[in-house]
Amino acid sequence: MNRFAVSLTSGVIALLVTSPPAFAQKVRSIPPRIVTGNCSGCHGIHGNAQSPEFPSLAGLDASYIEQRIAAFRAAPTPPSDELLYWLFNHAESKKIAASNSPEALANMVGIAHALTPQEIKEAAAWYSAQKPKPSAGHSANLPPGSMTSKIANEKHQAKANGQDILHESAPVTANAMGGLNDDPFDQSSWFRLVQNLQLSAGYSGYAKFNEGTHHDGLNQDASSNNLISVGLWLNFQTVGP
Amino acid sequence: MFSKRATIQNTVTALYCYLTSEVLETTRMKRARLAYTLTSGLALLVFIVSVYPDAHALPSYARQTGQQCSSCHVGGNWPQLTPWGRFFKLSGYTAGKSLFGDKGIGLNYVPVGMFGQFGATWASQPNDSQGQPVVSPNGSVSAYEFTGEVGTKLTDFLGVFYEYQLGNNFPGWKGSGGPADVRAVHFFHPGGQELLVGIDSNNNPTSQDVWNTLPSWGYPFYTSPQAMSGPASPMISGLGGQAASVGVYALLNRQVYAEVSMYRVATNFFRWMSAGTSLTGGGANYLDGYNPYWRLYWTEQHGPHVLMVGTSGMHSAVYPNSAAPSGPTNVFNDYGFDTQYDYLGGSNKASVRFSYIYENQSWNAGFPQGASSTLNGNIQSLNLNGTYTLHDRWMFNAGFFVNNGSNNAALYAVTSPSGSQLTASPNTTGYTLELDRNLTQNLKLTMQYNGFYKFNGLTSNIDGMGRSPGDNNTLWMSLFVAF
Repeated sequence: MNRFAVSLTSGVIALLVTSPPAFAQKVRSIPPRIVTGNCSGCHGIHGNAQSPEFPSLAGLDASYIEQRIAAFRAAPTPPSDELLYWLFNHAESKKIAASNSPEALANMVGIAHALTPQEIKEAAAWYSAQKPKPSAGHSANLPPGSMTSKIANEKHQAKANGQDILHESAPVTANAMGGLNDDPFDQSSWFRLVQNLQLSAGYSGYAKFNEGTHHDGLNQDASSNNLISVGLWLNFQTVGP
Repeated sequence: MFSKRATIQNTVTALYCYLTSEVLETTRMKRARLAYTLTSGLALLVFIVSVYPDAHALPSYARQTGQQCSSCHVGGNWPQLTPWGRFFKLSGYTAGKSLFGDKGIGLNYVPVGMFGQFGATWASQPNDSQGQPVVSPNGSVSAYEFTGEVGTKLTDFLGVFYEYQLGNNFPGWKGSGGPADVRAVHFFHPGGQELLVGIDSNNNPTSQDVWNTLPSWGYPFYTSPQAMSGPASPMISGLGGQAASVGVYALLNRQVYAEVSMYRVATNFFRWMSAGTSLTGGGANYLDGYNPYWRLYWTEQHGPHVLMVGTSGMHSAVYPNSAAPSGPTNVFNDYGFDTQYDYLGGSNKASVRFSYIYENQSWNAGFPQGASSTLNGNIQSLNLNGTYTLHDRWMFNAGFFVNNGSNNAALYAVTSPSGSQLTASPNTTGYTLELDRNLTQNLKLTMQYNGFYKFNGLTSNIDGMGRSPGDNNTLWMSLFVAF
């Protein structure tokens, strides 16, 4: 057993020690580690996002990509905890919610803060050197099908000029990763049906919850109703089998 | 329908009754004290984490990546994974910040998280016809689980995931090492391709998998510990916390995945993974030597559509008596087929999952000793289920399951009060319906209904006293809190 433990440990150490730093060369044929392990998860290795929900980055100006990440980094850090923010830091929680788009809040602002300047440079250089595929997923910030990289760049640059680019709203508001941000005006008939079913089951506390206009998952004015929902859930005892 | 005031009144009354009964009944005082300690501990942790600069408290990976739960979990509904969540796991949890600061001193974030689960379970018929409790306590509000979690990136190539759970066993609490997973990874780029190679060590076969089809992370994702279940399940799902593995896996172009892991009993070097779990106690499955587990799948994504088709299996040699692990063993060979389809379009999402596991059993040790009635046997386990996510807030889940096996009186016999054998079959069929509501990304309300068509091969009189399979149905309401 001990021999086994030793060989496992030394195996792991050997792997760590012998792994070369991925960002050694200047002209790359292989993507930098930050692209392989982080960016490519949504944007693809060659910057052609598989899902239509994520922006394709292939062929964009490196300076534009850097500028965009800088804007994410300049934005207030997103709360990774809505409840605690609501409890302890209500004012700031509202501020943060107001200054970020749902997509940026859920996915990009936080991870941008985790990047080093070196990693940003490497990622931007890599993606700007890639060729955009017309068949790949469109940018969430651009109408589908309209984008040669040149047009994309121009559009981006125009928007980025003096504007809060974090607030660019996507034509498809869909968010593939799924932020917890509902648009109160975008409630389908299904949603209303569910609300009715809820009421009939005795979940009266929820009805108000959903009527609230501040319903973006961060500064829920209806959060006080959360407690009521717990109450209702306890009360379900009387209607349970 | 209840008015709001009546609701609050009822709630307060229910809470009052619950609390006073805790104080008055001396047998419950210990539990109350434990609950108090845990609650105040949780409150303290919440406070500490909330004042910690640049850490906004959530299970540690959210702090590591700065992303929200919903980046990796479909609609924020853990443990379902998004494509990014799957890749994050396979790449060894190495996205985002390392735990340790740049100069090697200080921590970049708090690498721990906490979960708590509270709720109540109601059985269709909590007592048998003689008045003896089958599900107890029925409909009483209880804490179900407290879990501490450590998950973090250690370096660009090494990440770890570890949970320690304190679970309510009704009665009594039990602590045990939950899923444990350590990964070391490296990316290779042969000829313009991408090959991710990883070394993995974990303490539960299939817990390393990234899909929600195999036993560890399959539907139902959580169940009440009080809910009833059929008597037979394949060995691949019966080794959690008792086994430990060393394995190697490869992911080619994020499309083809292959893995081989060797499992052994979780002693010595691996003991930390399964701290708290008895490896030699009754019902423990003590493995003989190294037992191979394998996994192969293919996946493809086109726009919002994701498809996976896969197969998995395991060969397990288990000592008949875990307290005296020596001599001949029982051998279980599991063969699995599974497939999952995800539609990830915007904030409305859908998943359909299918899994079938066939187990071939050789009771080489148990049969001569009388622990099994047959030398050879089998188990078939089928699960078909799906989830629809509405606005990333509501989750509608439905599942159908079949847990069948060959007759084995020594394992599954049910006798009536008069002493006649009613059945020797483990065949159990049923369904699980679940409705979840994410209140915030830290709070989830769950309502789950477990129903049975057939229990122990019987569709009526399952205990010889007139109990029907439907009497074992349970309703579970729970509140899940994650920090």
